[in-house]
Amino acid sequence: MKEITLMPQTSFLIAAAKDGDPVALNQLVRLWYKRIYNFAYKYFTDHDLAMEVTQKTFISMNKNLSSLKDESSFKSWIYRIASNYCHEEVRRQKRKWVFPFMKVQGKEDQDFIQNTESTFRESNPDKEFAQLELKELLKKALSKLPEEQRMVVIMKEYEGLKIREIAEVMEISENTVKSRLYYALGSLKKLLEQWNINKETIHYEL
Amino acid sequence: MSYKPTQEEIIDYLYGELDESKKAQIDQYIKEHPEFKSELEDLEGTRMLMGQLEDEEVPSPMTFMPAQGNSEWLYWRKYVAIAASFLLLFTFGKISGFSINYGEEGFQAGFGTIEQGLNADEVQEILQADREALISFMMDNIESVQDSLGYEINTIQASFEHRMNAQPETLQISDAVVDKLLDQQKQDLMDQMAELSESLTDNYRDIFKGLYDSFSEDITTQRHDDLRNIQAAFTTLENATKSDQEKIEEALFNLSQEVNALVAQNNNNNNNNNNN
Repeated sequence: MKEITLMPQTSFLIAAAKDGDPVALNQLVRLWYKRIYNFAYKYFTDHDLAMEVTQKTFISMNKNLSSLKDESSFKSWIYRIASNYCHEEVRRQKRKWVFPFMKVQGKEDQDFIQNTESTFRESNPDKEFAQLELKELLKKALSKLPEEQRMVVIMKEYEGLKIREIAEVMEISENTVKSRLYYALGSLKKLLEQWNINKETIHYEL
Repeated sequence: MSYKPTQEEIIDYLYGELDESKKAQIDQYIKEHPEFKSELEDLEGTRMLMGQLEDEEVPSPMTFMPAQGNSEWLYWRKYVAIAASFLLLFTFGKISGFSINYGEEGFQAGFGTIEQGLNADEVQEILQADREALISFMMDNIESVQDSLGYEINTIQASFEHRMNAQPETLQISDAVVDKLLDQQKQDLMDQMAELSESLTDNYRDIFKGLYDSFSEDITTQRHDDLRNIQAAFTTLENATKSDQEKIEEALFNLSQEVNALVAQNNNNNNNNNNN
């Protein structure tokens, strides 16, 4: 996976950033920004919350990098920071008392509309639209999972962490990680079947 | 073989995180159990479908700027800011006459001087000063009166002597006049004294009289009440006695009738016996 090839560079950058090299620090942010953002985005399916968590994560990284002893554990370290901020955000969102019917059109919906409108450039608008729809459905399926399962699935499927690393990040046992993954995959399978998404849909789309 | 892969092993297998021997064992199990194979394929399919969800494009990542200036200043900055705000506050307070006071009276803030009420000690002090001023004023007055009196006496004496020296013969006549005048003065004073004492006595007498009257009245009413009570008690006793007497009379009457009846019966019986 991508991160594995990045790792040597990452540890070099960490060492330099620890010494107070701002260029190395920014390089490190650039390398990991997309990963952390996507991790948080898949967790919340919300751009603003994902941005918030991402920025907090990197601010915290900048502040606490010097306390990171083992540079090889940077990956699980930064995911732990990000997942902690995710949990914190969830708690905050729960505390925030919002009228459920007052949900206005979010940025996501706007993006969706814009993307839909811009499909005229594509040779096959149908295919593009179907692809978008599939993406939305997959996001929805992910958001249906209980939080702790969702986080494990994201880290495994999209961030490519090893089961051992996930256990380290979430401070749970490897067996817990595995059973969460097992149940998460089971519920995802059921959801996708319910929505009639199967290999054939993708073949048609590809 | 009763071996069945656990959930954990299935997950490990699915993500290729199994060691070789375990993997071979599960491969073997898959060959033997086609339904397990299809379960695995389902999970693979789910993973494959979920894998269609691609990364989002990110807005340009944030950039950390190297800290400006020395960190010493950054550290002290907030304290300097606090001090500056206090300075501002005091300056404008001075200009606008804004003042804050905290004392026994509590917390007070306002523009201009603060009007405070007096506490007990201060009131006492003022009273004391007032009293002293009054006393000294009176002393002065008395002194001046004494002085003027002495002066007048002196002048009178002087004029007296002067007159004595000047007209010794007229003095003989005026001696009796003076005696008479003195007597009259004495009489007047005595009368006044008598009147004063009489009025005072009258006052006291009135008060005592009032006290005595009210006291005796109290006693009288109390006695009346007591007498009335006693009378009432006697009346009830009398009534009770009367009713008792009536009852006794009635009882006696009943008894006599019964006795008569008995006597009559007895006579009848005797007559009957005699007849028999």
